[in-house]
Amino acid sequence: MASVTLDRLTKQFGSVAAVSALDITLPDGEFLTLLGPSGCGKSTALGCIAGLEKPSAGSILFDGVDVTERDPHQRNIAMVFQDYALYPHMTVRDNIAFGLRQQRLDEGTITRQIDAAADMLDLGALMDRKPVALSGGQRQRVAVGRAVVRNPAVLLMDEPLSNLDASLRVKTRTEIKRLQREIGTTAVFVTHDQEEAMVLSDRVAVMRAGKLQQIGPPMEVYRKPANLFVASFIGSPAMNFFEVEVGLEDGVIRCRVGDSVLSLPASVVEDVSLGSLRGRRSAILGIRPTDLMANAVRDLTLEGLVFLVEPIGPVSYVDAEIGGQSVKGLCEPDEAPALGQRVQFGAPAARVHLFDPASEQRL
Amino acid sequence: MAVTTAHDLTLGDSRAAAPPRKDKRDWLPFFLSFPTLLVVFLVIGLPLIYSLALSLHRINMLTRKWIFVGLGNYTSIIPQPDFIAALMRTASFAVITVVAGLVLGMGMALVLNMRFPGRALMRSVVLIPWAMAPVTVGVLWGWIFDGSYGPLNGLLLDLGLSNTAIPWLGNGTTAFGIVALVHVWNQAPLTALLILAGLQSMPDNLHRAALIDGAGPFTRFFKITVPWLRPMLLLIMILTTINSIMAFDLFWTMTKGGPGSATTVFSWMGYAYAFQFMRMGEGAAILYVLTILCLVLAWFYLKLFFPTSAGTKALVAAGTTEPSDPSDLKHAVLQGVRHTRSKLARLPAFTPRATFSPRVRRILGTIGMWTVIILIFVWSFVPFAWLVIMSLQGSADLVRQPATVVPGPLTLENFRYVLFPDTATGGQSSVQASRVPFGIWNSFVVAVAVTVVNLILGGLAGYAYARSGRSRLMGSTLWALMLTRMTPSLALILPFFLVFKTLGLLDTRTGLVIAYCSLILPLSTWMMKGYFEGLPPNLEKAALVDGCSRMKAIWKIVLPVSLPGLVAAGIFCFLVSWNEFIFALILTGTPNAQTIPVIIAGFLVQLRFYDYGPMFAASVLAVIPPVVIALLFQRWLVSGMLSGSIKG
Repeated sequence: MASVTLDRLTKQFGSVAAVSALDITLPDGEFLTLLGPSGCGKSTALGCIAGLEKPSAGSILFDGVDVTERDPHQRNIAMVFQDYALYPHMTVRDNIAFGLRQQRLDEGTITRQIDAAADMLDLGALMDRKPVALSGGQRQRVAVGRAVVRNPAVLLMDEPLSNLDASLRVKTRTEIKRLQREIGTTAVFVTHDQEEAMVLSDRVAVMRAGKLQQIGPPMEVYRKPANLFVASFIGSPAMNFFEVEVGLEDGVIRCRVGDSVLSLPASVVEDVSLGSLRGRRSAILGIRPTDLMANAVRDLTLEGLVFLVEPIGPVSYVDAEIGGQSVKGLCEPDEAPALGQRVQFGAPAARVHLFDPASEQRL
Repeated sequence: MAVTTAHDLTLGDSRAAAPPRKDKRDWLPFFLSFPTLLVVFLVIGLPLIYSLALSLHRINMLTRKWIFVGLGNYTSIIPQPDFIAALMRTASFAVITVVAGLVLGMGMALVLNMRFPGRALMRSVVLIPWAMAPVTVGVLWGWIFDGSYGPLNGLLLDLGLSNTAIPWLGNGTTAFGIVALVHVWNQAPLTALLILAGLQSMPDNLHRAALIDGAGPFTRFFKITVPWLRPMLLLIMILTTINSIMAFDLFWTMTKGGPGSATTVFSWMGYAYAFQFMRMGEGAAILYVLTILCLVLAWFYLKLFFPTSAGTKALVAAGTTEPSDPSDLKHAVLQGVRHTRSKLARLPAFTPRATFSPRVRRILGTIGMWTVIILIFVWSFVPFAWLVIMSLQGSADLVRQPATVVPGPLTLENFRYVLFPDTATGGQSSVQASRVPFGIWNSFVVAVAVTVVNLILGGLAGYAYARSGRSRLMGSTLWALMLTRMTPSLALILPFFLVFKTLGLLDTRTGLVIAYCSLILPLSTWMMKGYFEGLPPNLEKAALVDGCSRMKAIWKIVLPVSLPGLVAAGIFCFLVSWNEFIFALILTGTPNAQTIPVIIAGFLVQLRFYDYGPMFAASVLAVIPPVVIALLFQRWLVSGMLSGSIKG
């Protein structure tokens, strides 16, 4: 168990910066997720923490000790790989024991430790099988067992759930969260699945093109996305966006979407941005589909033409056209509007996000 | 927990950038590949330089005087009509065998890709001609076309289609055609195997989609299969072209360049100049022209082989689930609703094309398929079976007049002559036959030594290339390594011969092992590289994280996991070494080091009728290991072909 500090961590591949000046500090025992689309540098950053990649600049500290130049086996870390990387020529037991044997522990300790791990992960019946004889979910559990059995200072996970089917993924996700809480180890988890990131993490770090976009607790990242990218990446279905004209009148922000003029409380933007709204200016307005309820009376009203209704069970999604823009909202399945009809969405004003069109930062 | 906002991040950016860390060069891959590169330089690079020097001199073998003549050897040889004629013969031999081999190999691959009972067996049987050493192939077919006792004449006489034996190899054009046919017989399985591998890599849904679109079997073959195989076909054409240009063993065993000069191809001409007329300089010049030809082809081969087929990528790319990062985020999120006004027209009513009824089609298909399967079986297996039968014939029965195909009584006496010469009754075992056990032992010792050396060196280098082939140093050395694989061995023999003579390595097994590294080391490196590339890199990473050093991770994890790959590469090394002929022929002289192909060739040189039986027995013994291996490991060979993709 250790705290982890990434100090201006940079990894250059030729002229491409896969990770540039990443600054993150994880307190001991925190579960942090690196989240981002393909090529954002999340796996490279994880490789640097593991010691599998050598940073081009910056450093990595475990409990304040610089480990940047150490080889992986000198760092006391464990890792779960996307393809699990179970040693195919060893039984499950030997796979789990491998790391312990490298530490030259006595066999008694090793056996006790393995039995405990097997019990925690319900691997008892599988211990003498080879990986090839295991199902995907079982392999995943062995990979997790192999990692946690070592009692590592830092547990690293590189998309460990993405090779599982949807229902198993949800189950295993819960399992991993429970296990990490029990062991109390510091964990860094890499994923492109924003739902996974939200569910598992104490904090989420959203990355794009090697740069940190935002870091914070899941709900903060969800509720107050720092820029247009985070807003569009987090949340499913994706946030609706409009290009709007905004202005400040009597302490109230007014903007026009389609045919409606919306009035927003000044609190939806940061105080520092308020000044820039005094004159008229353009902005990008975002609102999540889950905050748009058809036929509901809320602070704001948006009116559009329905062109698609998608039932998903508890609610239905309504796709409507508002001012040339396609907008997704929710409705009660029994009150779904007919295609081609007008629909009125109600939305809470506090859930509206405004972004600067040039810098793409949150206003 | 700290609350971060966009503004904090902008502040964070203004911090001074961390000083760059020194980029330490990773030398491990270089160290791993260095032994291989060194050996390849010593056994291929140096001989090539030496042979270039030879080709620029006139050499008197008795006085050992070298007189520098510049390009004199080239300018005196190239304009000669003999040279032009040999060049034309080589070209026509290459064109004929490449085209025939491609057509035949494609046919065999298509049949072997269909489902029928006994398919696995057929796939093995097809490999038999390819697994046999070219010398044995030459002996076998030379006998089949023999002008006095050959089974072909026997068949024609038995059936009454001819009243006199025809000297098939006595006619220039016929002899040329026969050698070409035998070359195709020997090489077509390689083509078939590669195409089969290509067919198996084809996604089933491509054909299903074409089937639903209403394409018939011929349309599907030409519009779907052939385009899919195109990169593979190009590769095969270049590979088989090089093999045809380098072909030598068959000419040696079947025609010796004759009758007249009807089968004097380029390689034979170089051999004859250097080792029969002892005109080393001119011989080297001819062989150097051959080398350059091969290297040019090899260059094309590598250019085509290195970029992987784009088609596969397109299909694989559809499988990735990771979200992508839009390059223009604002445009992507603000994209408006798209309206289209295009309308699809109504097509004329759908009418299925009329052909035979499904029942008739099915019956015709089954008959056609089995006819082709039987033809392939006869083509691949019967000559081999005939070799076995002949080895079980008494010497007198082999040379009956008039010739006949009806075998005489079977006997094991030939095997007794060659395996236990001392116990043979009445001292009937000839000198040559008594050498067979030595030959087999030599072949075995050399093949095992070559396999061990090349697996170790090739394995280490293959690992280095698989894991860091992208670095510039490694990339360029790999290129050089692969280019050398295409050097014709004939061009290396002259320097080897002269150098071994001074070093006293002539007629030693050590000398053969060294020489064989030039053939096999690039191959084993390439195959092991292919295998290691198939291993997930995370396996070693996991071992590193679990507390292993890099060498320990290779030893504890990579080595045990790659055992199947090592076995497959080892089989190839063993086969190539076991079947090799030219090096052994020229670099050995006595039973001290002569390998079994050389002993068999020795029977041919002496041509005594009572030795025919033992010769066939020796041939059967020589083909048993490769054929058994081909039969047992057929499945591995296909995947081995894909990664290694070459046994000469």
